[in-house]
Amino acid sequence: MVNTHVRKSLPLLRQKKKSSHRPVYYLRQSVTYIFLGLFALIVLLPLIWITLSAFKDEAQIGSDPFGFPKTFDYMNFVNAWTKANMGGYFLNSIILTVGGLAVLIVLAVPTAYVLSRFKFRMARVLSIFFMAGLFVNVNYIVTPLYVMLLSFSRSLGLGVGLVDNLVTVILIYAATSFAFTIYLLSGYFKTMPKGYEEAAKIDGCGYMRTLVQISVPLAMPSIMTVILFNFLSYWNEYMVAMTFLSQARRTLPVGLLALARESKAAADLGRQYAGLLMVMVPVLIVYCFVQGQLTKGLTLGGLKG
Amino acid sequence: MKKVKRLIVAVLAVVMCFGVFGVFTGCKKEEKVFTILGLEGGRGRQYIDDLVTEFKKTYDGKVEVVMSSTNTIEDTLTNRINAGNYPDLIILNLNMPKTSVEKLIQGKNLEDLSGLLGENVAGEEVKLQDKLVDGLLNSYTTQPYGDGKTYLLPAYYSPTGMFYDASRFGTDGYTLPETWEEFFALGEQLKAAQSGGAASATNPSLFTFPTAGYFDSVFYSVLADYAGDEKYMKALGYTDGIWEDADVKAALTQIVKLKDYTLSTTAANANADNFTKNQQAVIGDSSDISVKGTALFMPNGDWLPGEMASTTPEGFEWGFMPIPRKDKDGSAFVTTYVETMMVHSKGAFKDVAKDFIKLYYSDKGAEIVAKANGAIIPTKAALTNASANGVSQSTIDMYNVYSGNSAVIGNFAATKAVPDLVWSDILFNDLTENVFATTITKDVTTLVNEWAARLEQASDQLRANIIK
Amino acid sequence: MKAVALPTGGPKPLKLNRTGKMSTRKLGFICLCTIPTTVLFVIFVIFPIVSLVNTSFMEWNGMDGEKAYIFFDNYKVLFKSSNFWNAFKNTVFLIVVVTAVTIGLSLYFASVLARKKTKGKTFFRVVFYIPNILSIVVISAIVSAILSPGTGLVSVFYNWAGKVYNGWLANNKTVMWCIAAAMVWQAVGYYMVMYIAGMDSIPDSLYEAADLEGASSSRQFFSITLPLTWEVIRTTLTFFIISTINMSFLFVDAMTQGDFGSHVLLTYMYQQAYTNSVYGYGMAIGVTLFVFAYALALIVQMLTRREQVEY
Repeated sequence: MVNTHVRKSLPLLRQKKKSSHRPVYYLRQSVTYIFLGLFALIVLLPLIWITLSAFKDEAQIGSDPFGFPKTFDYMNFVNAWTKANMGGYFLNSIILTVGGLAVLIVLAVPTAYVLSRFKFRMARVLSIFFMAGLFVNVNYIVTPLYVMLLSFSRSLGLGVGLVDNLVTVILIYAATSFAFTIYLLSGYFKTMPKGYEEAAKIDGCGYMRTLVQISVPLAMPSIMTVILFNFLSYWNEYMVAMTFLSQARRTLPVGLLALARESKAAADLGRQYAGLLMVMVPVLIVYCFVQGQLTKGLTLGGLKG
Repeated sequence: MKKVKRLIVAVLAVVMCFGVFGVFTGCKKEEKVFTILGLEGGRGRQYIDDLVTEFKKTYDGKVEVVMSSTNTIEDTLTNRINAGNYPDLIILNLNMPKTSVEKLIQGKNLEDLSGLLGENVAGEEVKLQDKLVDGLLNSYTTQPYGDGKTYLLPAYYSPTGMFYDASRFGTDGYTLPETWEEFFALGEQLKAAQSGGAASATNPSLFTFPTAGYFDSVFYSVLADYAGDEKYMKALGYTDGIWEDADVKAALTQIVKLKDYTLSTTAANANADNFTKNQQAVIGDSSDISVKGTALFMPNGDWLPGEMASTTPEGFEWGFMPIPRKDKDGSAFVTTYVETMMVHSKGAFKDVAKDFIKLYYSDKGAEIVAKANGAIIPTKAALTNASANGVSQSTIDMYNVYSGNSAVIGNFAATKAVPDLVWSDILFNDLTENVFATTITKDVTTLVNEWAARLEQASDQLRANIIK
Repeated sequence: MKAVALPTGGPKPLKLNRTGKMSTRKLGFICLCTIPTTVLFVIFVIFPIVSLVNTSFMEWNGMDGEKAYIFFDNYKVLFKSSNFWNAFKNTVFLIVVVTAVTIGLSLYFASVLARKKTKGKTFFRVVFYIPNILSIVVISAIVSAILSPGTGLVSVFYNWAGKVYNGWLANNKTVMWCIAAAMVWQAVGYYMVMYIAGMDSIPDSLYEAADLEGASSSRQFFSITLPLTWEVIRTTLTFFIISTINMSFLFVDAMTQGDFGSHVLLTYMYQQAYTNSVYGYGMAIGVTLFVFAYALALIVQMLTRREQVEY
């Protein structure tokens, strides 16, 4: 509530500020940009390097790692696409990622909201309970989970129907990221100003409406953060996908794994790099889209409030 | 907000549809079929597909072939077994990253194939044991419990030894050493020529190794050579005090002595990412200019030429010789790498699996394999017919190393796994950091004693866990 | 702009409800929001964990062998093992170093990039996040391109200086620092994104007012940014512990496979559970790691608890 008042007086403040610029300020600014530029370079150079490598043939990767490709050979990309059966696995990856995110957001956002905004006896217990999940690495619960679900599926007379199933994998993805999501969102919900919700309550808004129309828009930056991070982990996940899903339902990372170096077989690094770059592109696109949203939350909330 | 809601609802609906669809398609009854599960490594999968086609001429049932790469095959196997869905015939090697075959052995879950050895192979009046190349069965690889019963069969066998650049030896190059004495003499000569400077193509170091794991081909050869048959088997059986034995220590000494003649960048590149750099170092005219020709010899196996094919220069020729021997007039010992196949004792189609094995070792089987991947299976006939079956001359030449020399198979007695003790690390892998790292400056005797002490201590623990 | 401190931060306790009881609607809402999540969490996470803890008291090879209860034997071996303690030491080293360096860099970048006036912030935000979406295979390829003897970048510098370079990853003294550096490089963007999301809720007006009063950027950072994002930073401390533990597995596995004394707890666990076929022992390492990480996170949470600051 407080900041809306301040906002109205902003133009005035800005005008005054301009006259206060001094050489020290510019010096400080340029130091900042030098730091930013330096780190950007440290990040970008390897990326450029890997992109160039994807166009090189095997011999050149080993002998001339920092040179330009002698020929811009896009065959590495074509090979990666066909050998890893990427076209076929693409759809599965998208279904699992989008499905997992949908289930996660629909279930975890309300939970995080309730646990951080409502005081009831079980709230703290549940928080600590969910927090325990943070310390569990999915890779190590895959095997017992698989055995458990398979025997359940068989006892229902469904054979492998319940395990070799995209919905099961979606639920596993969502469930294993509850801990992270609830923990992260609770942190944000706690710092969110309460004024809007109180106002909504006075206006006679129900709990659900308050959550959907007030709190969720307010928490949009953090929800976007959650979507971003989980998108990344779902998109790259292969342990669960490989254990549960049969050939026809495999995902991109599983296909990509087939490209990875064999200990005693020919290593085709160029093809591998090309494959990795192609899997990376969707994530980069999603990130570019999401990072714009990361900062839109407050203004949106301000309008509704 | 409404848009977002609608989107979420739509997505959920789609997901549910897929789920229902998934459940229904998965609903069909689980049907047991004869299953072959194998590693699709350097040998490919074509040979199995072709064998299955041949096999189906006499077998009416369905055959399922599950093959995938090192990265995934062991997880597939583990999941199937944990789910009670046993494959019947398993074609997989010992010492894989997740040691699945060792686990099958530990669990005593392999079918005893001793009886099968006395049966005729498919379409011939020759017993399986007579088809096989001599000397492969009496080892802990095929008889893991050391009780004379055969549980694993050799699907492939291949010689290992020292690889070198053939063009650098001969009339106007170096002379090939045959004994360790000659080997190290050449090393001294090279060191003198380097006079403390870095190794180069003109002043190479004597030796490099891809990763410490490749010392297996040196280790079993020198052990058999220096310690003799009896102590060799004792060592492999973790006999008490065996690593303190003078002859056994003499064998270890040859390996540790290599340290002084090893290319200095070897240890840093001796890992899964960079081991090919060590392999490039042996190629005199390698495209990898940073390491080319900086070392003369490395231990490796018959898969090397194929592995390096895309990066070796045009017209390059690999030289291959056995590991150096102790006596000039003795014979060399060739550590033989055996790829194994086995039958799971809980499989539903054990007899079918055995029939398939009989086809595999028949002359027809040898021909199918040779045509599919150019390999020679471990039968005598496969070697004599190799040329007729279209196996390349260079491959056949590799197997000629056995003429006049003895084959040794390296594998230790089967034990229950001991927590915190990784035998392959103590035996080989840790050599990189404990012996060959450039930061290690201890003398050879100290290093040998330390290594022997580590082996002895680990043997004590493992001996108590040998599976009887 | 005075910062207002609230006593507890949370809303009113439910029992203060007028009727003295939670209203049915409220109870219904709480149940609707928590029960489905809890049920899924129990089925897909808690059950398997219980099964793992159970396994840690067993002798089992993880695949095809007999299972037998040996109770605390696995744990006894564990606490006596020098390999375990070395891996433990390395894990703690990484948690401390990676957290300290990453938190500094990412807070700095976030504070600069969260402010509206910074030019090119979209570009930097995208670029800094890139290491995070790179596959670990790519990262390890990059690292070996830099560190490998011969062609590596470091090797080139050594040659200029006329020294012999035999690889930093093949040296017990330098190997952990290389791993830490790679992990920081990868993690900065991730935490930067988290901090930006937190800092963005700080109104720009606060900074503008501070600018007017002539407060330096560092002063603004410590008296505005830090207190107002404290809750987010606290949250990320827990993530640092977890992600350092998890990521160190990938990095060590890709860069050194545990050679030269570089095993961390998860690589040691993996090696024991799979390569060495002592699955029960591996799970004992896992359970120990779980307890350690959880306890550490709770302690850190306790030590960093502050009164909540609002604007």
